[in-house]
Amino acid sequence: MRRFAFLFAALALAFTSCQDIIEVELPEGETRLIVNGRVTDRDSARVDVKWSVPYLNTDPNEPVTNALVVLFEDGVAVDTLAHRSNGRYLSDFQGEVGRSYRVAVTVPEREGYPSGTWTSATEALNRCNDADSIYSQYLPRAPFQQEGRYVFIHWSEAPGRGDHYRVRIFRNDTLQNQTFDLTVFNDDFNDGFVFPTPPSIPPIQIAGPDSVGVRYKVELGSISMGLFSYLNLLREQTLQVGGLFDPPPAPIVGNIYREGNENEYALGYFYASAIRTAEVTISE
Amino acid sequence: MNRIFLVLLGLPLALAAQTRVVSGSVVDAANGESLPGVVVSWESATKKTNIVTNTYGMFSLTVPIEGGTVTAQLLGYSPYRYAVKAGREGVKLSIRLSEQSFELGEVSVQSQKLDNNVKTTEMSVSSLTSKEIKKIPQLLGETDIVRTLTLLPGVSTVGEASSGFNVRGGNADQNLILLDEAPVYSSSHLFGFFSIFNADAVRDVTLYKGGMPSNYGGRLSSVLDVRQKEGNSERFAAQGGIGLLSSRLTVEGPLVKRKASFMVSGRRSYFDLFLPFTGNLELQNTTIYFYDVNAKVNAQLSEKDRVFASMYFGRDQFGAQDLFDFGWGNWTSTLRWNRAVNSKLFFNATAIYSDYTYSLGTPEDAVPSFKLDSRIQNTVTNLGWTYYASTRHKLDWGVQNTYYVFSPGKISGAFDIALSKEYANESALYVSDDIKVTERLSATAGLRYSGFANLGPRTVYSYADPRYPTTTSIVDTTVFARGEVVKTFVGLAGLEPRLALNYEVGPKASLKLSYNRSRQYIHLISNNTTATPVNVWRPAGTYIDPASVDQVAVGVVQNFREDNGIRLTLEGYAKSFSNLVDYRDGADLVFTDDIETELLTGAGRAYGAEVLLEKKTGKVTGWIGYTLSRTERLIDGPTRITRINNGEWYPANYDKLHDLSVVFTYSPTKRWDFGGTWIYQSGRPITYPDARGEFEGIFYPVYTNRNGARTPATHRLDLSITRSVGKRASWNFGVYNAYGRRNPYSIFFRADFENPTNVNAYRLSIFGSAVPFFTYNFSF
Repeated sequence: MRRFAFLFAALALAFTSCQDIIEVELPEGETRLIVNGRVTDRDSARVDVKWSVPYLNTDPNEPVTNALVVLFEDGVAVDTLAHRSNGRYLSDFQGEVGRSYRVAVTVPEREGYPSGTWTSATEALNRCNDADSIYSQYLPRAPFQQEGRYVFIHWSEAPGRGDHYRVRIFRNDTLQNQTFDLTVFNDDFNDGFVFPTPPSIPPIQIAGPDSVGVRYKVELGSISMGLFSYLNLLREQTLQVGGLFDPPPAPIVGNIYREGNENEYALGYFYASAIRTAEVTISE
Repeated sequence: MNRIFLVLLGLPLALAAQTRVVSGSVVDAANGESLPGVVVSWESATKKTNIVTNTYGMFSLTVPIEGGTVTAQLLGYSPYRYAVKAGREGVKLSIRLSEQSFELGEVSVQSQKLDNNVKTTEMSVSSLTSKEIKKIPQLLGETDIVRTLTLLPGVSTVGEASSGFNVRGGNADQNLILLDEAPVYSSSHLFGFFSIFNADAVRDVTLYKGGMPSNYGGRLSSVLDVRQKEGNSERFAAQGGIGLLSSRLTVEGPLVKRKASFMVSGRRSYFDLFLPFTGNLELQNTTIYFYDVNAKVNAQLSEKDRVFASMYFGRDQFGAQDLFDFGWGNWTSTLRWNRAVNSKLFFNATAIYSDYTYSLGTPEDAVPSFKLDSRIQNTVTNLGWTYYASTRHKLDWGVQNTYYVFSPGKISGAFDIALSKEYANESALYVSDDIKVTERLSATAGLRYSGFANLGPRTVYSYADPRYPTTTSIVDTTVFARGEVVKTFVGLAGLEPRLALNYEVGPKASLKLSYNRSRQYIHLISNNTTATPVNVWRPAGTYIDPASVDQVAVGVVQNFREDNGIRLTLEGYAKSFSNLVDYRDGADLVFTDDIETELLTGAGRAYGAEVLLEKKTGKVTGWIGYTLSRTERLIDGPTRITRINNGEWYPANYDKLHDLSVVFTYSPTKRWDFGGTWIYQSGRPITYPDARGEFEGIFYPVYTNRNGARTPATHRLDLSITRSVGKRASWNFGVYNAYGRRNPYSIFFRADFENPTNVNAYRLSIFGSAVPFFTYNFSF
């Protein structure tokens, strides 16, 4: 009987699906402009301008070093960003909560791609509360939880629906920047919740388990609903692929358009964000 | 057209003189099951005519008063003959057909004229009995009706293990699947590996790919009409099978001999029982199984009245690691009353309840707990009449009503939240006339009228541009009370004309032409490549219009050999769809109340040619089916987000240019059957990235062309051997995917974790190797 059971088990395994690497010829789509950038109320404004490459190309995307990048505040041009290196344009300009921003990028002609100006949609720089506290804590082993030291923050949400947020984590000054690190949330279910008055937001686990001495910095940033949707789609399209019931491929379209034609888009997203940071070093 | 209607009204009266009626029923002598599709012919000095028994095995023939012969013939049964003396009295016959024994087969089959395909207006129709289906090699030995149908031209699936099937460029939700007249919403078990129809409990299956009779409606592309066995009214009998994956048992017998009988059938898969032996920790706590139960009772209350009650209950259960439970299933029940009002008029009343549910969540004792329930309920009433007016006319008419309750989603547990329910009513009237216009030309002319009402309670949003709703453009909200009409679809657009013509070119050949218009008021909302059990159905309403299709098909039928045992069918079709629903790029369809903001509607077109060469008699039987087809969609709008692929035609998910099936069974002796199938299908459309984008150091694929590329082609060989042991048992051995082809189910890309610009293409195959199987079948 045992041998029979083994046979059945072997069949069961044969029954499961299999994956293997194959050679695929991809259509060579047109080169597209990529514009990503942000203005915050705490650090310098930056914009990255690049050209896309074919999907299976192993080279980095090609930087655009001779673009004209102009930042607007409430519709008024406030600064021209200077090219620093590798397609990155910088300015010392800092934004203010309650104002709105957009960027206009003029690129010279490139083979098969006429010169022109590309503009982002206007993004509001929304409010963001500071973290109330940040700390590390030892947790014992439990279902779905490894034993070890974890980092938590306490945080209160500003009253009034419609706020969206993004969390970025730096471990020993290195940004955790894989697809699965993309974290966004909104106040649909926690609008105006203040810590520790019930109903409050429970302590938010930021990282862990990790070793004593590791330093964590949390950057909480307000974002627009547009970036919230964009990052959700980006996460879904890069993380959930290949399974039988995964969502179908979709274009990830940000908020950069050819000036005067909303139907012609560039890749990437320009956003405004109020950022609040908190730091802790994991202790005994 | 006017002439046809005049003829239709006048003929019954004109032909009343000097004729009489031969009517009755045809049953299988072995088990008392009524036999539909039997050709009953009359032959006398001045008249030759024939008719086909209806779904309930009944017939009526208007014949002259002179003496003549009645013959009843059905493939696989010994023909029946009865001499009728001259006289004015009507004749009532209870015909019992006996199955042919194997040795007699060659001889007696030749004496039959299996030329029904040449004589009737039916086209684009495939009928199979469960006996025929059982001879074909099946995945893991499970006799599968839907899988068998996909071997016929014009019927395909997206891939292996995909729920549902596609008929002539139609979405899986465009198939009206009826089990004893009850609508079924999910036709598969185990995510598409098996169909819900237990072949032991099924008497026969008819698939209409086009030229649908007017008594069917509500779906655009096909009707799959599955009838359960009625139960052996002669003696108690049982049959079953023990397989690797599942076992099944059917018991049937008379309640009152030849008057009342029952049938109960059950299946249970036990694949998951072997998972603990795999040594794989993840699989050890996995549960995955399905079961289903079919039951039917029927009773002859009087010479004229017969009642049936039937039900189906099926459930799939899938759970993993005590983390989640996922279950879905159909429940249908049907009550039917047939009455032979007189020798020419038959009446049928049916009441049906159908319920499809799925639930998804954590185990009940989990903390925090979560459960999502979704459901669609139907209550259907059908009244239908068949009137055998004369030898030239057979009239069908009736009225149908379906009341729907859609419960797209309810979450309970740690928090409670529910999407609004939707209520709707669909009504239809139909009439159809089978006309013998001349000796050679026959026609079926039908008209169906359907109407639909979306009913409250419901809250409906108004949008700045009602043609293109978005979540950010809501300008007003209207609340409808219970029973209040939210939106109706009545008017001339609800007329669905149906016409089928057959012209007999000779005794062995005919030309066929059909046209039909159909309307569909409910849509399956899905953005998966293949439909899944968690997709929800939504009715037409304020923002979603009913879809419709016009189909024209032409065909040629040519029979060969004395016994018509070889048949060649060529058909060409063209379909034009309107108001088809597709999802927007990046749509989020899960638990979305204002679903209209995630959808777009557009047009579709499908055209193709089908070849079917069948061999019905002899030691080698089977068919070769080939389809050449195209299926495309067009969704255009004023802005980028309201268009798909820049408003240009793009291929549908299941568009496959070539589709070839070769199916054969070789039965050299009584003991042995050898079966084989080979299929070849062009690659299906897939969306490939055509550039690499970037956001703050995260790379992502850029898609601009939905379904712009193709997967490699699919081909596969399946083989089986059946050895009978005595008269009542058999062993079935075989191998699925015999040469271990890795057919692509999907192709996707995954970046290297350390080096994200290094991306590989992966092929996901459902079956990576040959899969052997065996089943022991028995009956007593």
